[in-house]
Order: sequence, then structure tokens, then C-alpha cells
Amino acid sequence: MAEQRRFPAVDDPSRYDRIVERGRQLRRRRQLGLGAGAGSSVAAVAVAVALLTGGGGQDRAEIVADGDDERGTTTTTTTTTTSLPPPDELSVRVDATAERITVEVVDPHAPVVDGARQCVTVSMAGDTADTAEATGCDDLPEVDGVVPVELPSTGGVLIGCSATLERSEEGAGAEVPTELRATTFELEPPDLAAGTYTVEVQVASGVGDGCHGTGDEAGPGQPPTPGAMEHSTRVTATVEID
Amino acid sequence: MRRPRGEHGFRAFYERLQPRAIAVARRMVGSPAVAEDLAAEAFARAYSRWPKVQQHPNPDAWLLRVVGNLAVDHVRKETRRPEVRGDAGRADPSADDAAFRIDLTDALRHLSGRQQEVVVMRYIIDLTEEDVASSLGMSTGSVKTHLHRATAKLRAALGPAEDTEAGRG
Repeated sequence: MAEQRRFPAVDDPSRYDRIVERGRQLRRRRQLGLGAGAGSSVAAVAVAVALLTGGGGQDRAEIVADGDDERGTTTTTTTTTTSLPPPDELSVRVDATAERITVEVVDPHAPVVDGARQCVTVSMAGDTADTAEATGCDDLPEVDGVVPVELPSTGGVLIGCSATLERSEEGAGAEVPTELRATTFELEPPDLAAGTYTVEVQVASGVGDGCHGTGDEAGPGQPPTPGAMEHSTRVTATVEID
Repeated sequence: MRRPRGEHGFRAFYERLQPRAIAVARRMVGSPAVAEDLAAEAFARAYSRWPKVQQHPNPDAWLLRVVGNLAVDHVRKETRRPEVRGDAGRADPSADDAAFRIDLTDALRHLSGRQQEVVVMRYIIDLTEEDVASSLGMSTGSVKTHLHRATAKLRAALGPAEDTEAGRG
């Protein structure tokens, strides 16, 4: 039985053109920014932005755009944020749509030592049996200043950050200088069943296990020090997929 | 019409690397058609970021790594289909290969993110330790350390499954 293919076979002269076409489509999506799901088969392009800044410890959430203009589609929304950062601390911005999740991480006091990194763990779960989860760190190759992270469907099983990243011990044991470190991660959600999904983004910056809430975090407003080498936070948003 | 210079570079990159990209995918997914699709998707992603990809210290490793990641994701999705592990498939020798790929992919879950990357790049994509190191921005010594630790974890994870296979005779 013939398998359904997304691209022409190797011996088909149109294969290269199809690859270029797909590449241009991916590039356009990035360049057009939020809500750029034009022509997508995903009915609802939900655009939610959770903006977590260091502005006086206040967190702010805002809806940037609301769905697209396809008939019968819905939705959007949301945002919640947790782990209020003090001023001048780790900030995270999450733009989540049905087609793309962009996480921008800025740590003004990231340690400058071997083993320091910025990591995100992104999970999607909701009122369906589908889930998706991925972790990525900025020690992956980046392109266009963006670290691409695969976000596969995990079939209802979320492994969790602690199980997917290991602690980095390098760099511990001494006073560490710090500097501003910023990373943008980009993920493409897999095809998921229609429903409402909570997108949870855990972010860690520094030297540690790369996970939020596991005890390695530096105190509010404090630069990472040995034994407390990470800044971390968690941001959630909601995306509805029709 | 004259194509942008960068696009010419991509075409050469594509033509040179495509056979290897497909071979990498086939090691994981088995199906030639799926392997060709995964390779094509990886090239499309490279095209979409071509100006930066061609500046990467090791564009070949970058592309093959994307292929490897896509293949691992594909196998993981296949893992959720119960018929893949069904006894009926055991009559076909290729089913054992598929089962091994699935076991290996499952075992990768036991590894840290960095260990997964190193194992996929070294053993599935078949890059040299030096290429893995340059692609990941780490020393060759660190690559060896990750491989050593990862191998121990994989051995532990795959051990019971191998015993089961042997028991089937």
C-alpha cells in the first residue's frame, strides 16, 4: 500500500521546488509574526501572549491578537503568569499560537561560567488526550538568533522537566561574574486534537538542573551564586484549537 | 530568472547532502518514503533559515541533526501505535528491526537532553566525535564523557528488552 507522502520522491524533479516552497512558507510564518497562520489547515489560530517582566515585580498579560478570519473558527486567549520576578530580574515573554510558540528569555544576571545555560521546558495539555512536551537549551545551535526546539506530541504523557534535563555541576564552587543573557526559543506545536490547551513554559537560566522550582534558584534579585546558580520562572498561556 | 546567490548555495548543499540525510532517517524509521519525507522537511527548515545555517560552524551536522530529531519524533509517534509491537509483526524479520528502533527511541527518554543529542549525532547520524563537539560547541572530551554515561544508561534501559527478545528464541 502506498504511503502518503508530504514531499515528492527523490527521483521526482519537483521535489526540490516543493522543499523550497515549504522553506519559504516556514520563513514567511516567522517573518509575518503572530497570527501568521494564513492558509493553515488549523482552523483556529489562537494568539495569546503572556508577558512577564521585571517591572516592579508586577506581571502583565495581554492579548495581542485574536484568532484569524477563517469562518467558524474561534478563539484565543489567555495568560497567566507566576513566579513574580523582582525588578531587573529574569524576564520571559511567551507568544503562543496553535502554530507557533515563541519564548523570549532575558536574564540580566546570568552567570558567566562553563555550564551556564538558558533552558525552556514547554508542555501542552488540556481537555483532550493529546499532549506535547519538549525541552531545549541555548547550547543548541541557533539560527537567526533563534533556538529551534522540536515540540513533539507525547500521546498523553508528560515527562516533566526534571526527567529530561540533567544537572550541570560545572562552574559551581566559586564566585561568578554575571552578564545579560538573552535567548529566543521557537517551537512548532504538533497537530493536536481540537480542544483547549494550557501551554506551560518553564524557564531556567544559569547553572543547575535547567528546571523551575527544583531548589537551585537564586534568591529574588540576587545573582546566581554557588548552590543557588539558577534563575527560573514559569509562565502559562492557553490556546484553543478547533 | 536569476536566483539569489544564497539559494544557489542551498541547492548545492541539498544535492550534496541529500543521500546522507535520507540514510540517517532510514536508520531510524525504516520506511524509504518516510525517510525521504523527513529529509525533505529538514532541508525545508534549513532553507527557511539558510543565511544563518550556512554560517553555522558545521552546516552538515546541523542539517543531519534536524533529520535525526525529526526521525526520533516520528518513531516516538509510531511507538504509540500498539500494532507496531504486535506479535503478528514478529513473523516479519523487519518487524524486529522496527521493534529495536522503538526500544532504542524509548531508551533515549532515559537520557538527559544533551546526552540524547550526543547519542543521536554520534550513533544514529554517525558523525565523528569531533563533528559532534564542533556542532554542539563543546570539547571532544565532553562528548566522550556524555557518550560514556549515555551508553551506561542505554545498556540498563535496553537490557531487559534484549533478554526478552532472547527469551523468545
